[in-house]
Amino acid sequence: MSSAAIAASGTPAESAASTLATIAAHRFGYGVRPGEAPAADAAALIAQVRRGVAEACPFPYDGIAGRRASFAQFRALSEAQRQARRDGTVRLVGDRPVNPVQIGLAAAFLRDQHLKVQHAAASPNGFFERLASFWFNHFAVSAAKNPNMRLLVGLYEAEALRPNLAGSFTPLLQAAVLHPAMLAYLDQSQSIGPDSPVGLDRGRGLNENLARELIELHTMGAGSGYSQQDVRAAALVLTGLDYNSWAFETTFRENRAEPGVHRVLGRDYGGPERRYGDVTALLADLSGMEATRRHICRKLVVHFIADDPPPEVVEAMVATWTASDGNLLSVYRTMLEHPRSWEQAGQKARQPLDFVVASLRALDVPTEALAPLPANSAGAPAMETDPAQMAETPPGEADRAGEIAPPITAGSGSGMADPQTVPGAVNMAAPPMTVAGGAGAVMAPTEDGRVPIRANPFSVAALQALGQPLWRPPSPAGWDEGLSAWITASQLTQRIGWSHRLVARFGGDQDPRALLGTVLADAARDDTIEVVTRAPSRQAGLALLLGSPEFNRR
Amino acid sequence: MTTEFSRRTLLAGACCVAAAPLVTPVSFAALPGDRRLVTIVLRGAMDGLALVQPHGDPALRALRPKLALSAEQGLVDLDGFFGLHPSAQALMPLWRSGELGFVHAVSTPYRSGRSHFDGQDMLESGGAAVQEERTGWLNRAIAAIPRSAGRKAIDVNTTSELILSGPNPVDVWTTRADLQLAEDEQAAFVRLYRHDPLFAAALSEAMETDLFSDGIFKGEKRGAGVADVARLAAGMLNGEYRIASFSITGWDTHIGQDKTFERPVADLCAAILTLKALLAPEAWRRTAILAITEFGRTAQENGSGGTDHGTGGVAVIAGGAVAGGKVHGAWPGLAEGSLLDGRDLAPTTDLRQLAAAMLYQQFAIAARDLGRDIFPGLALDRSASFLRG
Repeated sequence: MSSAAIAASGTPAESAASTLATIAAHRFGYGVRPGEAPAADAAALIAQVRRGVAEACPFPYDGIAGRRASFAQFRALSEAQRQARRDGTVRLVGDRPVNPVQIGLAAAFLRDQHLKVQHAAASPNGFFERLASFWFNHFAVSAAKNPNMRLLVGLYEAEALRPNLAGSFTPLLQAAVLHPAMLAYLDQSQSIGPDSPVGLDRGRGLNENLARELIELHTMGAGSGYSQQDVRAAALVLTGLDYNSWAFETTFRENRAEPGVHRVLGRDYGGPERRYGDVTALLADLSGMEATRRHICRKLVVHFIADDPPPEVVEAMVATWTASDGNLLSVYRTMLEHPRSWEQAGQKARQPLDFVVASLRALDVPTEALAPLPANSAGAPAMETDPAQMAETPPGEADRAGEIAPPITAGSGSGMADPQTVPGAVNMAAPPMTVAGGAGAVMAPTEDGRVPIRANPFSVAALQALGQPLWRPPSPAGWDEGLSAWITASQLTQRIGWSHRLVARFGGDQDPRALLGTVLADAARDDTIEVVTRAPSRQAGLALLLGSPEFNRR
Repeated sequence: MTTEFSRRTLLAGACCVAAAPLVTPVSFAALPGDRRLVTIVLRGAMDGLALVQPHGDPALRALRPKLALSAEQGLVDLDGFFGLHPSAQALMPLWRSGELGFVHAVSTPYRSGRSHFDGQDMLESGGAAVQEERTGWLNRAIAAIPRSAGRKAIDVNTTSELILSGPNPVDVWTTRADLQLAEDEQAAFVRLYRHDPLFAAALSEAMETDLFSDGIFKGEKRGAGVADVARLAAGMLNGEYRIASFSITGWDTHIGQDKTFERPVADLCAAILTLKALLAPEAWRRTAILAITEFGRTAQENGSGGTDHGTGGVAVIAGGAVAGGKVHGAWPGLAEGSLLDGRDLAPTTDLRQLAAAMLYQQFAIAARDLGRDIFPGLALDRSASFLRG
């Protein structure tokens, strides 16, 4: 094994010694899984994308069609709960009212979240999985927006993003921006043309949220030459766009659409009659802008390679985008085939999702061990009060619920469970409790009126504890990309603590030196080799491996 | 090897960890104007009319036949007009010593939407409209604090909350962040990171802070309850931190409020009383605690013995540095014509004025900075009764 010296800047000065397979796994994938065939070149990574797009997505847990069918069940539950509130027959456990809608939503979201982490860890198509997370972050939506979003977020990744990651950018943009999850997240339902029939009648007006993020985040990028007038005109074009509550199907309501012609970036949209086609025309034009190409190519390089991206890689990708009319697979290929994309390993931090999944893969943790756990037994408090969840769980207005606001992820084990006492995972093939309604059944509250499952401390709860709760980015701009944002004192404390619990449970009798050779391979530095080799115990050695700079950088 | 990082050496050198901050060898008492601010976000819309009940308003009983309490039912009179909910009785010593006050009929500029999400967004971002600001007002305030280099903020949480999110450095800690490394293992980590300056610096800070929080918890169980969170915050504020923020949930009392209101009020009391008990006396004297919520609740109780989303509410101020012993704010009245939209307590105080006043008095932030970067468009009202010089 050779090693790369670390320069004073904190990035490896030279890593020519790392083989392409090592860089491919760390930089473009979710790390090495022992026994999995490595991808050593651009072609192998591109093949992962092709396979990923073609395969069925394991979430939502009830399938795409099943999830759509479950909306009706949630609607019925919600109406029953409203009636119970009117009749004064809301179920109480002690003094505490129980809301089966909220509990069903929390359980559904937990199940989807676990499937995402399980799939990311198990998939041999690491580059595709990383791309899916990249694009989710690019077209960010959050499950914390309102309670119903918990049904939509996994569905959104499964049906709007993943199938569209290898084609042209335009269909991806349209699928993402027009999905009910995005329309809900960015308040499009509240945007009404001031001179539309509904606007004139109710005196309600425009909400520019979606229009602004569409231009500033999704396509052209901030400061790329558009004006506030363009944002406002785009918002006028988008009026009419809405979704049906509980069906969650995108619709165009002409009586909310601002009549007339609206000029965005020098092009006119609309006319005396407003149509859905105005919206899709605007999206198509935005996706073809030079600024959009540049913004997205740069963002890909920033995410995968360096906070300060090598300009020649970005330029090559922009040229490919232009020549291929925005074919994303070609754009990825250009990035992967550029020699600069394989230099200077370790300029980026593994974000918590990346770190957790890479750790699970390194230790070859079985998928079954990463399922949701049954809630604590009746009598014991199912959740402790965790301020993190408080922050993340604004009780929602949609059901006017809030009689109980079950945490989205369970707390008592949030990454902190004693590894010896983690109970067996829930068998998802046979959900413990369901209400009538077939395969997509909604989970019912436990006897003591709580969410029947809780987050697994080694997957979903770990992400919460490490500050990157799954599918709940802090803003439409997504998570911070910077290296220094993720390598902080509190972050290292949490990572080291979690690594200890992980190796205590799943490290087995693995030899840290052997695993170092497999997982870090030729990326291992002398310091790491020395420290892991001399570690006071096997477990300490494995924890040091997971805590090493090479493992936390990529 | 690496004795400077040995946990035992550090412990031996600092027998009273909580009283002698290790990180910066500066005694906080020696810093002039060394003031502290704690914000507590009450998520879910705290019912101000239940916490601080205007028993002197003739309309209250008719609006709230079940929820309006009499002295016989335990309501604690404050000033002849307002009374404190019995669940908050434990705070009365602070009221009497002038270390607890309230601002009634307060609200952010958020109107009529009544969504928790948007309401909290405005509460924490300090904008005049939903999503106008992307970062938290408390974070933006850090940059405006004179001589702010030595001051730090802490978010007692795992994920940074919006109120403290933004470009300025904030540490996010949880009560359960604990390195728990044996000495030999800690030395191994120091060695592991010695040639990677970013990791080495992060570990060094982690070990220092860990020692600090070990001192705060003294080997006891680290829970995640409100008292534990307040305990961590107090320890950090005794040390080098000057701003802390955390949340208390459970305020969305649509049903059976006579019962469901008790738990979050008990949490709020525990938070304030823990801070009072654990902050050093001279630190408590210079501390302002500001507990705020996204909006109040309907003036009238609903058919389920609860209340729904409203507008005007109550903010709680506590600590040695606040203008306590008083219910501040102009009272708009609960008569039918006085209610906002015929249903909500009409706000008479902009919550941003209160937050700005706390920043102004605690950190001497200039009024022009307050109205430009922190609460855009706000003109600080220097005559506000809750503002202490």
